[in-house]
Amino acid sequence: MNRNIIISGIALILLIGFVSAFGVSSPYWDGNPLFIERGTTKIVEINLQNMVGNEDVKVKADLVEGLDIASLSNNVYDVRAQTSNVIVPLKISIPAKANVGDVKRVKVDFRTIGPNNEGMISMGTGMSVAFDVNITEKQKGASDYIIPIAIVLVITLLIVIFVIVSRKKR
Amino acid sequence: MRLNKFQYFFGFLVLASMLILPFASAGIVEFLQKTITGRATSQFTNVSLNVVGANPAQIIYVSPISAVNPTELGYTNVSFEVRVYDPDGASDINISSVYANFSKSGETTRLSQMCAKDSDLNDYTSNFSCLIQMWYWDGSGVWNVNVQASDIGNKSIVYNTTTNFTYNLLKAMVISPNALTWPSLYTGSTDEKSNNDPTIINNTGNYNGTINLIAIDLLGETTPSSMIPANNFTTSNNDGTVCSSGTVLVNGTSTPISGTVANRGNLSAGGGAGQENLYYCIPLVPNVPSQTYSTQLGGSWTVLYP
Repeated sequence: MNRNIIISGIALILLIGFVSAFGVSSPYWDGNPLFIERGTTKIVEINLQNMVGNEDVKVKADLVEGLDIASLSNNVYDVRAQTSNVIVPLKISIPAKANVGDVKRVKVDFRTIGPNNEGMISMGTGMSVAFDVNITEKQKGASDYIIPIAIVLVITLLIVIFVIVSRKKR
Repeated sequence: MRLNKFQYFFGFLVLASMLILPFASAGIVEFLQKTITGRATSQFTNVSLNVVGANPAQIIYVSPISAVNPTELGYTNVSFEVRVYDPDGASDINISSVYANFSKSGETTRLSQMCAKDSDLNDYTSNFSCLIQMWYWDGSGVWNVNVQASDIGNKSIVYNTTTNFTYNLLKAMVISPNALTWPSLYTGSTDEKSNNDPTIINNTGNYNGTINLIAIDLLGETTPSSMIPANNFTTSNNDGTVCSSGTVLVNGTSTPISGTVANRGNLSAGGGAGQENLYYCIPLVPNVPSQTYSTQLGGSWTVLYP
């Protein structure tokens, strides 16, 4: 009898209790890495969309790779139906002592959080955003030259004043 | 018969008149007309032709285009500015000749409508606005911007291909149906397939890689200590082989489903474009107590674009 137990309860009703639709757009992906100078911080804007159907969705974001250089300010996002403007700011910070040429990997998993339907087995959708971060040398900008130029100018000015004063004393 | 001097002279006059009169008569007639009417019948005139628009136009500027996000199951309008210069003057620019397109190897070229003239920046340069629609299945990566224009005088078509932009990656999907069911199952039975699969995965973005599935052990709703482990399930995009060679699922792990691909494409085109199907099987129903097993306590399964 026991061998013939009907696992009726299994029912395996793999229900998607809601229209599970959403999208994630990213400016970086595998094959299109982020190049960033060491000692700098950049906010990568990941875009969440829900343009299909009329159901709002709740999306959970988990940073699963690159925790040493990346961070998320929030983990759960509400994406209203027919919107495409939810931005997930992913902060990338590269220490000044990082090695130029190092490649770090960042990965964020996004998954829908579905309603907990009684007797149902929910099925959701998910997308991963993953990309390499290439660390580059910091480029010297104009502001980096201001102090040295100012010092040279001051020294030159002092020399000129010294020469003029010396001649007048003679 | 001998001719005298007078006869010679007269004959000479007759011959001379025959030779000269045809040339002189016009002058005489003209003289008479001019005298009578007061107008000359013809006169020399200086003719000067001013040829304009000989120089070809030049497309001197195409505005930079920031990275563009695709729109799920829709299109994104991409607009940009074009400046056309003509040394023969802005009026020589053919304002209905300015077009643009976006191109990328292996992708359908996206064309603009005619770029609309905004204004004349100066006597020689006109500003145009161009708009091109990029669709959700268009490939991610760098797209080239090609602009063409011509002028009225020279008529030769000139091009500018100096600009490009990045079309971002959009991972997006809609799955259906909203329920998967199995018939009643008995312990020990084999090759039990879902009776309402497949899960149809509609790709509403431009991702084109494999599809993963994160399965969760099914816990008993009455006795949670009893469960059906996720590795009792197989899945495949082939209904005929899902039980025999489908991918075995792993609890809590993003598992690539062998042979699947997101198939980015125009869903409206039909024929499977933009779609992938997942079938499910329990090759051997485990020996577990009779009760309801579900993901209610353990968490839902997730179809994933990794």
